Amino acid sequence: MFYFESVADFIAMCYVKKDGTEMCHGAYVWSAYGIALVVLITAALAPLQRNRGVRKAILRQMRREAAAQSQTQTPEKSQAEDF
Amino acid sequence: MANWTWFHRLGSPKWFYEKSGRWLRWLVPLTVLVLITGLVWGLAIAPPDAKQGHSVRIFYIHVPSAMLSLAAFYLMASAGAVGLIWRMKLAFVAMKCSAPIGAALTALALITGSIWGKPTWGTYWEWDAKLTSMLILFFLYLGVMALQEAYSDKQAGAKASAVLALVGTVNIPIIYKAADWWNTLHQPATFKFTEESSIDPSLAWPFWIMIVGFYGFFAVVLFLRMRNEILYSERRTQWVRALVKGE
Amino acid sequence: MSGGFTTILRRDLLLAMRRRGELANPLVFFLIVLTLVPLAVSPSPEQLAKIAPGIIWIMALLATLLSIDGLFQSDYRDGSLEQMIISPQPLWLIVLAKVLAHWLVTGLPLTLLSPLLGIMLSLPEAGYWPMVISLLVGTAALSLIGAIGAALTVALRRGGLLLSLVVTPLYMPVLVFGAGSVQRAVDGFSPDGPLLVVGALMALSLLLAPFACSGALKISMHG
Repeated sequence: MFYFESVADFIAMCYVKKDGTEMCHGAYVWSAYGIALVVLITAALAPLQRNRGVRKAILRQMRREAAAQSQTQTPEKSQAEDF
Repeated sequence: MANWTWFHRLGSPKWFYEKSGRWLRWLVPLTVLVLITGLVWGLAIAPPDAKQGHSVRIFYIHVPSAMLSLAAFYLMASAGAVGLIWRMKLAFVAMKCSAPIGAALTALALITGSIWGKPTWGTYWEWDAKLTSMLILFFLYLGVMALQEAYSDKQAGAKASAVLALVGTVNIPIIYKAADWWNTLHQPATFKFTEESSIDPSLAWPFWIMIVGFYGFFAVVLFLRMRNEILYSERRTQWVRALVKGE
Repeated sequence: MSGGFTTILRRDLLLAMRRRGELANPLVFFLIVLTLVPLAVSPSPEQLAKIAPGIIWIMALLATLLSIDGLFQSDYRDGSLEQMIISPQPLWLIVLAKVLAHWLVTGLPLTLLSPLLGIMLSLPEAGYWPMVISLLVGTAALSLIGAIGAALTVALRRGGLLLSLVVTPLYMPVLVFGAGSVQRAVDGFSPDGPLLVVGALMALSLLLAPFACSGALKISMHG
């Protein structure tokens, strides 16, 4: 099923053309796949990170509003985007 | 008239938040599975190309990301058009959220394309028609995002960048044609790679899998981003507060 | 309807004539930056001749880009833009008149000046006619496309830089076919094909830009 015979082959990715020239593209292939993984994972993690930030900010605002209400009926200032 | 209720419900942020949560529950594992299958197949199972050797494996990520970056631009512009015509808030959210994903995928397509170019053309950057139009597409994304950011009134920013995205959509095919014609005008010294379309059937499978995987990935990240935007813009509503507190 | 068009056109031309110094700025920029090219590259005629078509076109593009920023700026500041939006005249017609006025005071003089620059950059003789024709038509397309960007950024505080970021990618096809037509003529082929494409691009922008612009202006003004 797998094309490569050994792990070393898999890493080096060498291919001998019909005319006998050997082309080793391991460095290119692995760096391309590495960069792709980094891009995809950061793209997927960024919204998860922001979700935590948004939830925290909303909770903070709710707590602030509750505190303001329990003290006196001070006019509530609009809470600026604080994240 | 009854047929249109789904359309109006689609415009409701709360409805979308609940629905997308349910969709993500099966979409996320499915996408991860498809992407891993495609990556392993492309990297370890598919045979190398007779002319390019193993560097053809880079295509399994380059082609899907290039396809998706284009598809994302069209999706962004269509969402912008829907927002402008039907004044649907959710459409603007979708437009705003697809821009950074599309830009990231365009950057990925450019990077993998230039890494592929090194063993094939002997240089990291070749002013090839496809890479050049990709680069312009990347600039278009940057323009749409910058315009959106520049407006202090978020609604006006969304509308303005929707107009720009629509103008860009008209331009994309022209840009591609121009790059193509320009490439024949200045025939590059290096050899032209013409055999791209004649892909061996055993190489085609991982392509399809990766394309499906990238579409899934785009949908997942788009939904995640849209959900954040909705939470934030609806932060004063009861349902968001109940949801946040419920955790 | 056409009365409004000529009124706006005459008004904009009159305003431009009153600020003759400002009017000359894009032309002077065109000239100065072109002088830098031999200084930076090489004064050898062969080398200059090779890059002349592209350089002249890029300079024309930059000169248009720099001047298009002011297209709606003064009208926005003194409130007349608001008047134009609520006036019974269709906004796209007003936009068209303003763009035409802009082209008459920048694109047209740039085109007329270009043979002089051709001489300074030792452009081969075959390139002159295609250069003049492509610039004449192409700068009109550049003004029209640039107007969309100007309309989108008119209400922003630092719109100038953003305008160039937004508009430059859209300019790419006009530049490719404009400079390409000159290059083809220099190389000894017929420039007709790319010249026709420049014409087609101009027609397409003429068709779409005024509407995109009026939409963008309404968004800029009212959100």
